Amino acid sequence: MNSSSYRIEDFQPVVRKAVLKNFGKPKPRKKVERPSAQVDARTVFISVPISYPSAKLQLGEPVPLAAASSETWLWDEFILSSRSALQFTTLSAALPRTEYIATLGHPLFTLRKAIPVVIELQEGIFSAWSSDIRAFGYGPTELDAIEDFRSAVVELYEVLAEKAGALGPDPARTLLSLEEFIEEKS
Amino acid sequence: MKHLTAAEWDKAVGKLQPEIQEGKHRKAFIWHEGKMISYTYRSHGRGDCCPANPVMKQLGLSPQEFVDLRKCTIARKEYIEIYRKRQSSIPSKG
Repeated sequence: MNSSSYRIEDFQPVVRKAVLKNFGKPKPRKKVERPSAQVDARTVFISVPISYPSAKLQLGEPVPLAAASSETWLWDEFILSSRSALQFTTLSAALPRTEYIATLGHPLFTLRKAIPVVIELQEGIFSAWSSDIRAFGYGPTELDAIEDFRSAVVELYEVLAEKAGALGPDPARTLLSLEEFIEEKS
Repeated sequence: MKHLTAAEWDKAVGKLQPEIQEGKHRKAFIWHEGKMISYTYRSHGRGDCCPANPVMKQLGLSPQEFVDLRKCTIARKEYIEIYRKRQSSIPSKG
């Protein structure tokens, strides 16, 4: 899979099928250890080594982000949030890498085309940077960084559009780029 | 480049005397002669650390200049000077 992340609410059948196919029936749930201080308190990483496809799905030790980062390309990760929503993430390539943000998740704005962003991990913080629109988002997980990026882009667009008549060269270029990507929902 | 804590961000960016707007992000807009010349922001509620590289790029600073901003040896006056030099080094179109 190329894309980096999916919510189980969106892809539940796919995830369930993949889990059952690769790992057999899930074992009864074990008690999950509390995440360490290095991990976002809302998430627990359950790691399954893809080099052992016959391995049974089982809850692993919570993986601190810093440790996970060095092996992101070796592992598939299952992220269980405190809301009991299982988020399924396939990290198919080493970081940094380019991803495409296809939606803003905003009631008023939508995207005409996907925004390329570079995902990086430094000192345990994920960041998503777009040189096209000079915007970024960040957070303790890749999903958090992308979510933060989306909300930052909307906030930035709203301000720059409002001040369109008083922008210097760099912000004016940014607004032009933003207008290539963003449009108001009709 | 080492991350900025929220307090470091506030201190360093505050030296540029920006217009601050709050929202999901604390946004800083730097104005000069009636024009917005640059901006940057940091998130609320994303932990205490903000990646330094994107902030540096948004402000149009070199790594050394950004280090100086963090050390507070660059303030608004110096920043405007850097901005002017950078603009004059960009060939105008047409």
